Amino acid sequence: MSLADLLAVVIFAALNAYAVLAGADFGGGVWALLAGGPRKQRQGELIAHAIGPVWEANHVWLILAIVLLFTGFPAAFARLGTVLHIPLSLVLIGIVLRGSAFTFWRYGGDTDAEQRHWGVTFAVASLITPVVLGVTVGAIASGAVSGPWAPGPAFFTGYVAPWLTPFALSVGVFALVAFAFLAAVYLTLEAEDTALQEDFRRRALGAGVALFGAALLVLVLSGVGAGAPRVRAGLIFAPWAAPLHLLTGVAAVVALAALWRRRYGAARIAAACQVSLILWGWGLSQYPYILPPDLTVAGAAAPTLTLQLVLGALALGAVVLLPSLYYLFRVFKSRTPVAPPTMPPARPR
Amino acid sequence: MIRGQHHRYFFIGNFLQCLVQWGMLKPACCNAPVARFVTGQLLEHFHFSARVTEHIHKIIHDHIQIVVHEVQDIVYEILTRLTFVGAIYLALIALWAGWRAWRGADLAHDRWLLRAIALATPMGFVAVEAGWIVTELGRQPWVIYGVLKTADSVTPMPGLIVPFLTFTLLYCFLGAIVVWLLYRQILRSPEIPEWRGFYMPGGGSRERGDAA
Repeated sequence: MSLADLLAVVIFAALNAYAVLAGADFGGGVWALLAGGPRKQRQGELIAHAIGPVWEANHVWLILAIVLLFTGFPAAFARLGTVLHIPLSLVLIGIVLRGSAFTFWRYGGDTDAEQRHWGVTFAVASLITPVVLGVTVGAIASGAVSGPWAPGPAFFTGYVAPWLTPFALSVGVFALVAFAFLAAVYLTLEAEDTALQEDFRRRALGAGVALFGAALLVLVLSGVGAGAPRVRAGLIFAPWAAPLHLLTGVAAVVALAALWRRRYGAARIAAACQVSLILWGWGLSQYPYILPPDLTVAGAAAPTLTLQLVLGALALGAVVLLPSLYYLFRVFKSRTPVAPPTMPPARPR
Repeated sequence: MIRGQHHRYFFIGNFLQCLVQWGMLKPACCNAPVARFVTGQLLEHFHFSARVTEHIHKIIHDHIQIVVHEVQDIVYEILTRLTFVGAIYLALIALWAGWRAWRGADLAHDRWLLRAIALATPMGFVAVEAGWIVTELGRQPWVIYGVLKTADSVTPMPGLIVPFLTFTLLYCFLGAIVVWLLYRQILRSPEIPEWRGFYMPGGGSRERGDAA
């Protein structure tokens, strides 16, 4: 394994962490939008209580992936930023709006009509951002982020057509359902009482089933029209494909079975494994290409000296980052009994 | 007209020369193409005699690089000194507060001290923004100094005005919302009456004064 490969693995691991941690925060926003029934108010409060302390920290993984990408693979970064300018800008706007709206919603003041506007903004931004994020992944997997682009391609063919495809949109839907599934599974563990737990258990089961449907849609569309030939071929014919699908399938079935039997701790692990395995399936299927069809990991890599320095800095940074994140999650996410969440939180005096 | 222009450039040249001699500017090595370009631009608009042209070119050749580089240094210098002024201001407030406390004053209800502290609040933001502006504008036209020009690094996508306006408006909007929410939470909050007295004329402070 070369240094470039190693760095690509680290970037992918960061994306994986972003998907299973921050993805669930987006999913929480989706469930805030879909909150309903007799416990509508308390569902919203539980979601806010669950993501409040961690959603900002969870973005460290996206920042890490982006920084490593432009330091380690500048050619890939330049091409992504050029071809996918519009969806990436939308992701950025979505992330900014979601975070601001969440803060305004929870800490803005009294629970009144004005505050509810921010709650809606938060939820809608949580809904749109994962879709667009998935669309960018779909565009990469389909091999549409190709180059070198002509000096002045027409606006639509150069900057819209690569990502506005049925396949990319289906990946967007898949990402949304996957994030909602993760959030619902995690929220069963966050809920303090059985009624609320049952609300999210039902939602998790529904989303888990929907995830199969979304996966099927992605698979079908990968073969329709331009589709995603390379990823499709990899996921079907590569020697590692069968064991990977088997593992993913086992994780999916375990997640649903554990939810069914109300073993929420096991469900959380299985669901996170399932989403991670799907992500790694994408990465493996397009290796050695970082941006199919023509840009390889080795071809896009920065000079060896840069890679050495980046990996060294990464090792030093991990010494600070990982214990901090462990501590954060231990403080806010451990299962020690705490007082039931009361919202809005106390004002600073 | 020509004579006047001549004298003006001569004056700028001498002025810069003086600044160099006083040690306020550092002479830098000259960029000959830049000097030629600027002289060419001047000659397109004004018709000087050969002797004056030569003189202008010499002045520009000797000083243009100094101007380009040192303007950034001057701005940096001013901002550094402003930061220093801010630090002195904070130190004076601390001394004042310490003196008042030593004299047994109730600092929490000292209106003028609190006003002085409130005045210091935006200074940190101003310092951060000013530093940001210096780094971003100061390295133009380079985006990576000496390696990559900003003009060469911009995306070829047409219609860049749209994302520019979108992000500008988005952040103006969020900034306005933050100001509004701070106003709503702090100044207008009915739950913390004692906070209002400090900022609102005729507010709760008089009542508190009576109670004390």
